[in-house]
Amino acid sequence: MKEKIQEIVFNCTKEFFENSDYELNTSINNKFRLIGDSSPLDSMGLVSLIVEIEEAINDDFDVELVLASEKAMSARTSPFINLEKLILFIEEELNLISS
Amino acid sequence: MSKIVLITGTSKGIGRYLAEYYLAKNFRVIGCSRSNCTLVHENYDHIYGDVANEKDVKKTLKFIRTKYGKLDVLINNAGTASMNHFLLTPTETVEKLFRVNYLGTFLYSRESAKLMKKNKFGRIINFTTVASPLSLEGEAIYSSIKAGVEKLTSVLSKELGEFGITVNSIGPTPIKTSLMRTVPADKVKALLNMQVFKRYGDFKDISNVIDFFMSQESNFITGQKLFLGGIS
Repeated sequence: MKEKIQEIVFNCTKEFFENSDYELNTSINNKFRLIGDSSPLDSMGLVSLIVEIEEAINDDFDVELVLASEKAMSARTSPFINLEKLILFIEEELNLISS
Repeated sequence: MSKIVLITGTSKGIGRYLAEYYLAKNFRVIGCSRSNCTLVHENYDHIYGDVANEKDVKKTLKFIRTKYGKLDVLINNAGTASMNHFLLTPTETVEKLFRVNYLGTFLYSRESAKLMKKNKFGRIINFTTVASPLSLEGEAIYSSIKAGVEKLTSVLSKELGEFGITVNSIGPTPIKTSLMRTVPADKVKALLNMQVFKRYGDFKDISNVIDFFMSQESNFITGQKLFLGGIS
């Protein structure tokens, strides 16, 4: 499942940059930063990308997952730091739904 | 493609009227309610669900995205009221009013805006009440929750403006609907006397304002609250 999530997240991120004015100054991989100085995204860019990823995950897995949940917002390490953390968080949430 | 309009609480009252009104204008209307809805029309889809249930709301928006690929207008009509003296207000009443009036508006606005932003166009129209600016006795909970909806409207207008989405609210006066059924006649009369025009509101008074907010030309109007009957 992790590979599938990774594929969705990477594709969404790639498409997001292709269809927006944000400049992609690094390659899309697990270490891709979503927040912080080294991220190519500002706060609104992050919001838009998270919305796109949430929709793609929900469509593909036929669930109603909310990525910006209380759990995500209050986690000691934010799942929105980089794509690796985000993918891990999505995997955990999908496992919870299916269990 | 016709305008796609989502209206919450279409089983009766103002919501039912608005659904029929916009169907008559050849719009595609999606309505939702928990209770049975008898409205049948080739351009109407009804989704059963709770406006305060996140999963129900997401399912409704997924249906719209899958079937129509866009959403032009959201009318957050679903609401419920309760009159009590503050000292005799049950906690359950507060929770119920908050869930339907505020949480429902929040959830539908959030999920609708996600779809609207794809098209760089959207109109979100929320419902407040004249009980808010009038600070009516017996309406502490209803009016304060609706004041929260007004503030939500104001902040959302700023956060969603860059996506081409406007967010406004309408505050109707008393209208002869089931919502008013429990309000004593003398209280209604006193309320009508506070208005510039001392009459019940009509459904048409509401659709007139919503027509204005949702029009293409109203793209410079956002974050506003408009009360009927001369209340300010």
